[in-house]
Amino acid sequence: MARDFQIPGDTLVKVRFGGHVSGDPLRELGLTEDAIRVSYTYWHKDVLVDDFGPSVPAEVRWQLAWADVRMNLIHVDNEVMKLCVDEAMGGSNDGVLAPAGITLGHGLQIFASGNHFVSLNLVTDPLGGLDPYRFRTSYLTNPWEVPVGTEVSVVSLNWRAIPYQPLIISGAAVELISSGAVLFDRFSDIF
Amino acid sequence: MARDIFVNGPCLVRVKGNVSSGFSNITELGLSEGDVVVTPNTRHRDINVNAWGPEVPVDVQFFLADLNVTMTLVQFDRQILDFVYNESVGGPTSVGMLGRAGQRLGANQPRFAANNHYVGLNLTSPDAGVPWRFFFSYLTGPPLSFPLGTERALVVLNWRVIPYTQDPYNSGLGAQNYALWDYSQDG
Repeated sequence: MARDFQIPGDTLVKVRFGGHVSGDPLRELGLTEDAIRVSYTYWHKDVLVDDFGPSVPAEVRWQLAWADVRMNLIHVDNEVMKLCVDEAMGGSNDGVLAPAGITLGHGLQIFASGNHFVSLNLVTDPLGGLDPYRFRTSYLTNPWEVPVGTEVSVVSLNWRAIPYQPLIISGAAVELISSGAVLFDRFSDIF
Repeated sequence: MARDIFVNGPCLVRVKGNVSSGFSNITELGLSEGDVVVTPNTRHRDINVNAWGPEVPVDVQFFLADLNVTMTLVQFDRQILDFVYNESVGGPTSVGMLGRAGQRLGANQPRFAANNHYVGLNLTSPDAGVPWRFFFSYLTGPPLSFPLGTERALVVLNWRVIPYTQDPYNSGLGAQNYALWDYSQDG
């Protein structure tokens, strides 16, 4: 692929919920006012040896990463937004909170009933030629702002995606290992 | 089509509002004293790269357009003008009132539906045979003035035409092939 300007084009935000969400789990969330910002926080840990002194590492170790996806939604499905908020709060319901300490994944497979992670899809312009983004285990985090007034509401959302791995696959317990954990891919959930 | 001098001819301004307006059928608004001027405002944004320096772009991106139509009406239907102005302020109960702050003119409704307050603006072209139809228009200003005195009133109108739509995503096509105007007339 040669160098070129990268123009993803108009991007539709779509989401997919776990099996416990009634109705169609595949939904359109909305369109943004401006660019969606995807950023990755990589973690590395220095390996220090005395021979290299106390500051500069002789090696670094990879310690996984998470992703932040920030967007300002202006053309929104409020019902889908409500579901995203409820799932981020551990399966809360319209402001009625789930108990403190509840886990979002419950060790369950992605999209299993009871797994509250949301698959976040950034569906780019199909004519633009660029692949979409999919963050399969995401949740809404701070800050989340909903302006309420006479002007059109532009809802600021911040999603966090982690490399979640289930502890139970097909009913059987499995070991928790980071190898092969998926933070994102360039596919779309089937809509 | 060969080169020729273009003469539009006398331009009659006609309008059509939604089914609940006072002009749900195409209606004559009036004749202008001088030219009716159509001004498209296209939007482009530069793409700059360091190799080309900071000023001159290597390419530009097109970011749609809106349009202004200005006219000075000298012979017009006063009641239709009131109706048009009423739609442009959100369609309140009576002329002189206002719609509420923040009201959307389109309200996610199709063209000419009850709560869609955009006006169909039509300009005739009897000599050249190239009329104009602007699908989603509203009166804006300045200028928008109505002089009152002993001389005939020359009402200055400034219309704005935007690419209104209910679904900006349009199955991934966005504004591709969106019609801001065409060379026809409302029925």
